Amino acid sequence: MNYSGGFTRLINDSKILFFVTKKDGTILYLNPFGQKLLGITSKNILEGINSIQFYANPDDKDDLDSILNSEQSSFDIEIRLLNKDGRLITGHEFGYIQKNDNGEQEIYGFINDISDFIQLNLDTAKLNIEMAEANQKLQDAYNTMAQQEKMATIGELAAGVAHEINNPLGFIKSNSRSLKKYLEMLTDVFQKISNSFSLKEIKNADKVDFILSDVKDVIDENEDGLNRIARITESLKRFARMGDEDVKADFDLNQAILDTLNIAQLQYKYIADIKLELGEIPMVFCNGDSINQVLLNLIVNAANAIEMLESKERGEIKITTSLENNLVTFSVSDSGPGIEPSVANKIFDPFFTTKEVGKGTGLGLSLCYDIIVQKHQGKIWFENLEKSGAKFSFILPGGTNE
Amino acid sequence: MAENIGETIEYDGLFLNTDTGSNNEIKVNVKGRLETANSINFLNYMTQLIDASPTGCDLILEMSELYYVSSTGIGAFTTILVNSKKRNMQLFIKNMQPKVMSVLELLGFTDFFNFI
Repeated sequence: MNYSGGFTRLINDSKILFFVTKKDGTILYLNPFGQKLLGITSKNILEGINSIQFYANPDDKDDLDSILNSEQSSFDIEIRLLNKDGRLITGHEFGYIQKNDNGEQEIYGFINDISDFIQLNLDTAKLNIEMAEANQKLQDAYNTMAQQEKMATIGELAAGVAHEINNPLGFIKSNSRSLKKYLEMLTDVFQKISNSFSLKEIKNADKVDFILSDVKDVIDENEDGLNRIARITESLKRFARMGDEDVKADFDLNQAILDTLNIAQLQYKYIADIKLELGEIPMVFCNGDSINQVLLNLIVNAANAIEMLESKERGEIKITTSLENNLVTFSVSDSGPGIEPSVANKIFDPFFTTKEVGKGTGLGLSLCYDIIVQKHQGKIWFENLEKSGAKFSFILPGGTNE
Repeated sequence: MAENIGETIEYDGLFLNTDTGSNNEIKVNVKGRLETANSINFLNYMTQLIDASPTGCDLILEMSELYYVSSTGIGAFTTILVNSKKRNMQLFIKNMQPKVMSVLELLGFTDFFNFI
């Protein structure tokens, strides 16, 4: 069978560039589509044309030369050409090398124009880079806002902490005045003793028994007040420590809950009672700063929810921790109005808030989600309670770093 | 991936060697030809390396002995750039040969990369 007629028609009519060149690139044959693609309008012009002049990057000839000088009899490469109109053509070139009757190398080959396909892929690649850059900027902005949110929360807490410290400071100052007065009275008593008053007379006249018993009470009360101040400043110090958000270490979740309750007292003490059910849980390997932020957001949210009811009765915030299937679980439930089902699927979205304008940034719960799910591979969720109120829970992979 | 650090791996004419170096820097020597056929291997290699590397480190592609890049190879570069950005890593292309660079220029990709 002779197929040459079919092949001739294929070469003449196809949308693929077929060529024959010398080793130095001189074109010996170019099919009609090839002439059209390269912008060669007259067949006469083809005479003596060197294919190298169409190379978008003349260095590509070196690649071809290294192939021609090797033992290879065929090659399969991607090539970029510039046609007469200056259009960039990306082609998939397949070539076969054979010697003619004079022993000179000739290349028989075809080039499939894949410019559109490549351009589409490259456009997609550019778009991906631009999206990644935009995402990066968005993430940076989110991180900045999250940091600002943390600073704002600490600022708000500072007012509460000042209030909590002021209270014991008030009675410590008053007690100091009493102690000073007692000291003056006892000094007077010693003066009288040295002036030979009868001891009985002195005791009755100068209330020595009362002073001696009250001094101990006053000192005890001062000690209690100082301890309260120390506790709250220690809690604040632990909470507000600015560390690297990527650094994880063993973390005492139960202690962190107590610290958070200490510094957030003003947010809940006039509206709700705290019920604590802290279970025996191991240290959690996590970023403590971030988890503190989550605890604070969830506890303050619980208090805000109760406040929204504007009830005269005190509400309840119940906090529990437990270890289930080697996972440390935290829950905080409130006796507030609960979450509207219509907003349930938006609650962890950034900038979503049900609080009044100026009270919430809408970043709190989204930040909690980011910290628990993205940074710690944990899980966070909420449920409405049967009577009223909502319960927010999170789980963290348990165990220590060991 | 980690077990291959320091070893030279070949994918059909493309030679890759990773040096974890120092100063929070990872250097990959890319030699030979990055063609359509081995671009996917290159991309897989780099993706695993990026995933296993500390966030925020510098990733340097040493290309003084890379002689050819196809458009698929450039596509692989862009995916590597995107993946490294996701891990907050800085990607640098070092000592790229002028003829390979001219391919990136032709296709309009030079603005996206840091060349050193």
